[in-house]
Amino acid sequence: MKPKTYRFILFTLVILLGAVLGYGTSTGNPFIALLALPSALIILLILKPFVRGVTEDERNYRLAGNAARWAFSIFVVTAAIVSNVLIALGVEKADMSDRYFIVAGTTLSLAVAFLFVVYLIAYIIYSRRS
Amino acid sequence: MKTNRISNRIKVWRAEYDLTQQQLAEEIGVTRQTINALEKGKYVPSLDLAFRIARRFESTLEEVFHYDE
Repeated sequence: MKPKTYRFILFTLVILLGAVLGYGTSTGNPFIALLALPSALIILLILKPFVRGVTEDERNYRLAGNAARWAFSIFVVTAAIVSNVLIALGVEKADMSDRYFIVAGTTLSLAVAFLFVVYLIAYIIYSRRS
Repeated sequence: MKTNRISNRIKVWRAEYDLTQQQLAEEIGVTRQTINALEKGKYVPSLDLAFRIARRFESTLEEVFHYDE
């Protein structure tokens, strides 16, 4: 299999996965999502050895690292600001018993905190390896 | 902005050995896009890759890569 064919299959799978996850969410069925993601990963793992030629190299890894660092920074800053705004709005509306803003803001804050913890763990692991 | 001070003569060596970008990429185990980026000076290779390229052309690192003072 040519690398181009593999990339086409990968692209098609991502689209299909998005559609399946969307369907699972809209129908309220979490098992569809739980099955779809591992299935897609297994298909890709099975197909990978059949690819002739190089599909990724050190340049791709470096680009992926830079893109991930950039995405991490943007997400953390944006999420921190948005979560503060949401919590502030929720506190302001507290007398209207509308707690959705507080819940959304707190969830976003926790997501940022979790991301930081994962980043820290990954950083420690990689710094010990090199 | 970070400037790239490492230049290379990969294109010249490739012409000397009559290799296409695709052929060189396959022989040293990278993608054609990486060879293209190297030749245009957009990407600085790791030492490992630099050595592999130099070995392919049966030359030394200094004959393929140059550090601009």
